Amino acid sequence: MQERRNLPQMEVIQELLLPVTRTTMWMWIGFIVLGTILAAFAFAVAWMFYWGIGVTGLNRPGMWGFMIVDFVFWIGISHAGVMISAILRLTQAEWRRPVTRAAEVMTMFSLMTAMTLPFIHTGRPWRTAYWVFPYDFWRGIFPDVRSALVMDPSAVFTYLTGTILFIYITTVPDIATLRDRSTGWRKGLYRVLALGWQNDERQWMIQAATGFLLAALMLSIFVSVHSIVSWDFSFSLDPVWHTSVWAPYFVIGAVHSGVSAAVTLMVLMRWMFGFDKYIREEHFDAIGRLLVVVATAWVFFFMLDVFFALFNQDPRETAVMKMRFEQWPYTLMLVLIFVFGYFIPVPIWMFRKFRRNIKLMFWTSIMVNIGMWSERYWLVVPGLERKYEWTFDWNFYRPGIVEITIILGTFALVPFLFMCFSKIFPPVSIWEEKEGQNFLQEIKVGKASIPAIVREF
Amino acid sequence: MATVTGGHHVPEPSPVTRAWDYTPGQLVRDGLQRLRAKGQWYRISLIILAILTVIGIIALIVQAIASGWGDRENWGYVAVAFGYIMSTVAAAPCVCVAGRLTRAHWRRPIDRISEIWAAAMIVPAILFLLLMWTVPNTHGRPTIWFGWWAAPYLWDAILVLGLAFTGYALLYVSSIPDLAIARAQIEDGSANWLTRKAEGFFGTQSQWRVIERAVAYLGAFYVVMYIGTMTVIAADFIMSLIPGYKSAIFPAYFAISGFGGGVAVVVVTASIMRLWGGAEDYLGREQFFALAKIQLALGLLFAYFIWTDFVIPWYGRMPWEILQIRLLYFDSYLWYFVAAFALCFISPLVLLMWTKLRRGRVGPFIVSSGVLIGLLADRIRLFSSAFSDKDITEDRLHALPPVLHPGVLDWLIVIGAIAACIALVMLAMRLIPVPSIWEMTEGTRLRARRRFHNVEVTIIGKPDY
Amino acid sequence: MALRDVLGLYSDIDSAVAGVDKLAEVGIHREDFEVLSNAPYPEGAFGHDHTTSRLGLWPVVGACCGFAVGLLITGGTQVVYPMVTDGKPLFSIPPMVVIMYEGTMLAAVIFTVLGAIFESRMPRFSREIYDTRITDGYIGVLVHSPEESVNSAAEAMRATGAEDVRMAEARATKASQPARANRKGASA
Repeated sequence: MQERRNLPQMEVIQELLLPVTRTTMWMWIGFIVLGTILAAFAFAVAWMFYWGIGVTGLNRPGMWGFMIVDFVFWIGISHAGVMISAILRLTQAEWRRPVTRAAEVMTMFSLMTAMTLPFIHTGRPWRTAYWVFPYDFWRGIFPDVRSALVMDPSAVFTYLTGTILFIYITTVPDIATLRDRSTGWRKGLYRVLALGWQNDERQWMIQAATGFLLAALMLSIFVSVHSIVSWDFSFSLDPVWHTSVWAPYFVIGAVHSGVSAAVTLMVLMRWMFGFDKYIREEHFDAIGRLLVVVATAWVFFFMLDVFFALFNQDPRETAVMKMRFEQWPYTLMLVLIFVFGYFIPVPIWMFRKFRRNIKLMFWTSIMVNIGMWSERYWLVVPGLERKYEWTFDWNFYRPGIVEITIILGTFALVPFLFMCFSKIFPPVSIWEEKEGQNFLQEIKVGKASIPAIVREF
Repeated sequence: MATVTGGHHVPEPSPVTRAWDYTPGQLVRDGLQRLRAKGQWYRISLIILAILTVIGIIALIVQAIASGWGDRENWGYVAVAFGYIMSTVAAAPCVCVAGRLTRAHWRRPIDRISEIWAAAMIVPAILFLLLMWTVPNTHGRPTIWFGWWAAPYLWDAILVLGLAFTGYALLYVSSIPDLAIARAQIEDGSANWLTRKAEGFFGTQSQWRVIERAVAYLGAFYVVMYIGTMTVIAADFIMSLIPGYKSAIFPAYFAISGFGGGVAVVVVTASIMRLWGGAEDYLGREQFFALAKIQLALGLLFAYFIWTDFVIPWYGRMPWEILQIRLLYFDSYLWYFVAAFALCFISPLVLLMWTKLRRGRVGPFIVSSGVLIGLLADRIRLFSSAFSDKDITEDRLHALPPVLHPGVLDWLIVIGAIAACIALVMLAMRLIPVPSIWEMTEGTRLRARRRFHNVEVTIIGKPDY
Repeated sequence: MALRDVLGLYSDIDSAVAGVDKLAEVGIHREDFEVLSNAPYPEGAFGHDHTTSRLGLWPVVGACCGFAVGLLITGGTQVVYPMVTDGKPLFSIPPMVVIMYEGTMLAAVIFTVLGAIFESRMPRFSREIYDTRITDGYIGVLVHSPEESVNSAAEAMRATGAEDVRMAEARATKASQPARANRKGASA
């Protein structure tokens, strides 16, 4: 089915620059609603800083609650960018073009959001900064590199830096387009950021090669990031945490939630920015097929985690697993994980007709992320609630209003920052869209005309 | 030869598979010619492989008579042969499934090379049936079966034999159109018996839809079955035989490294087919380049999974965890591990990260041959440490068990099993055209070379985007 | 020898390719002009550009630097601040591997981006000749021509349908260094 059309160049540019040049009513509504939630978020954070973390539900020994769960969740969402951008770039999948930029930007903002959470969670972030950066050559005291809590910031920082640079270098041609069409302060900003890009063949050649190189590098970083986040837990001896499968399990779960979040974003961009001509049903079809494979792989790792936790019948592990399977609210979480994360969406995605139904794709993608947030909670929180030989207490974690507000705030922060980005840079890559059109061809087989592309080996 | 257009030199198009320019008639003639013409070297190789297989079978019988099924350690290298074949031969058909699912065009010439290895699935199935007698039941030791009836024997058997059956079904269904071509085109009565099984296929549009769907579903089912089978083999034949070894990543590692072996088998087979199998025009750099990328990715995953399996007990540092990593990585099987790590990870990384080597035909062949050797070392490391002498009902490892090095009989069994697989595949190539005629024909319709202003480019049709 | 840049603007690819071919006919080599477009076209669409780059070296150099820094930080801090934690060796290699890996990757990414900017001949904020219509979809053919061939280049472009032909001021270069030598890897 030929859905792609060759559009006039000016039409492509004007339509894809729409969020930059015009603020639609939906954007205004978005800014106001999200801004309000962010104000509540700021108030909740300030309240907690003032009174201390006693205002949250955290208490010994369950000191990792909503904020750490949310940290893991947003790190997971950040895996959408590289999954879509890097892997699809390396495999030369054509359908990546309208999705890559938005997914990369979502990666950047979800990482920033994720990074704020462990700092906020400490209750006294200024002191944390003092402990994290004591590279004190005068006294000869250094952080313990053997701790996963040193590896973790290094991985997240590497990923964030890489993502920002990746986005920047692939946006330079579009910034040049903006430079040539803007006035005033924007012109100055774009002129500096475009670095004098003039669209010559050499620059395009370097751009393509850089895209491939960075994609390969980012892919290696992306796998390491969520692995290292998982090691924050599994390097400890806590039952159900101390397991070797968490690294790939976290990564594949992250891809599942991240790609689903990319679907949500694609639908929102269609609705808010009117990108119907660029983000088409065929894109949802392709991403739906990908999600079937990813979701199934995720379930496989989930099963490995559960089965091998019970494998040698260690009473401590069995007790926590029993709590996860039988005790409220973990029973509800388990249902959400399976039903929302797999059993509703995947059968739907198996059918082409449903994969091409935008509303259905939107709601299934939301469902997946409800399931995945529950999964993070199900994995992280029960591990610390019980009393072990090296703790002297037990506790049932119940989040307070402050934490709930902070979590809601993070869900507002990412889209808010994305909308701010869209006001300055195009959220769909203009040059990649045009490149796709330049490479677009058609092959006739009998009466059928098959969409085709020029392939450079 | 470089072309000159408008006064400018236009480079020679990247070397791609020449068979894309064949007409359907040429593809049929070529495929059938290869099916019938097997030269002297083919016969000599087959005879040598048959002799090795017979020697292997004799060694196996001697082993059984000499030691019976009571001493598990005497069956360690039968388990190695089984694990190795499951990690290479049984994984090879997964390569064509991955290519078909992603709608890649480069995969067409290698599809049949990949799935033809399913013809050898009888070998691991037989080895498995022999090994079942050596594995104790699940009472008093860790297990993933949690009291299921007849566990682990019945369920393991269903998976291994089911996988073998699915492999044969995939190969047969995918070959039906080619067998029908052979039936119709070979008129002198020399068509093989298998072509008669395709008598009902005439190439109607509905038959094509059925074939395409059946191949896709059987392929997907084969991959899922493969992962499931490797998971239970890892649990029942390795992990549960090493007291205290509890690593949830290990089954996934076992399957992923198997995929690496599968790709290596396909690359080596494709290289041999290109050099001596008359398939030079089908197997261009395009195929080796794509396979090399997958080999590189799987090499990285090999290291990642090994690392994860290692670093968690290293951080845990409980006494049994330290013993576990000493057994699997350092003291007992250090050199087997070093060989596996060097050939399955370092060599793909160091060689295939260079585009020039990846694009060539020699680089992927060398790396894949290394991966096949490395995997053998890895399977020796794993199955020997599982089958060595120790009390498997203990909850923890308290001392390092003795190292189980291979003896002459062991080598004969391993080599005999591998030779049997290769011989079966060579025999299958007498019955089924390799590469696939119908998939190549379909591919030529979805490819074209066109002028794009000053350059000739390759156009690839993407019906499903 | 004085060189002068001439920019021809074409509204479509067919006439741009015709212009490129015409330039070859009037004796202007492929190395002496470049084609500007707002998105890449298949390689060779305007004739083969012999441009090469050393971009591949940048991440390798970066990776080496990052690895060295990672090694220094992880190894050095363990040596100068010996502290036993959880019975791990004072010089623990597995944790070092993780941080060195991150350092290697981080520096490789940074160097790749720096390499991309450098190899793209950027930043370059002042251009003698450029037209904003190129980002609107026009195709520009930018000829670096010796003073005596400027008119024939401009004429060739006009004859093949260039909507606009603009010339920059003449700039002096060394007589022994023709324009093509400025482009790395240029060959006949």
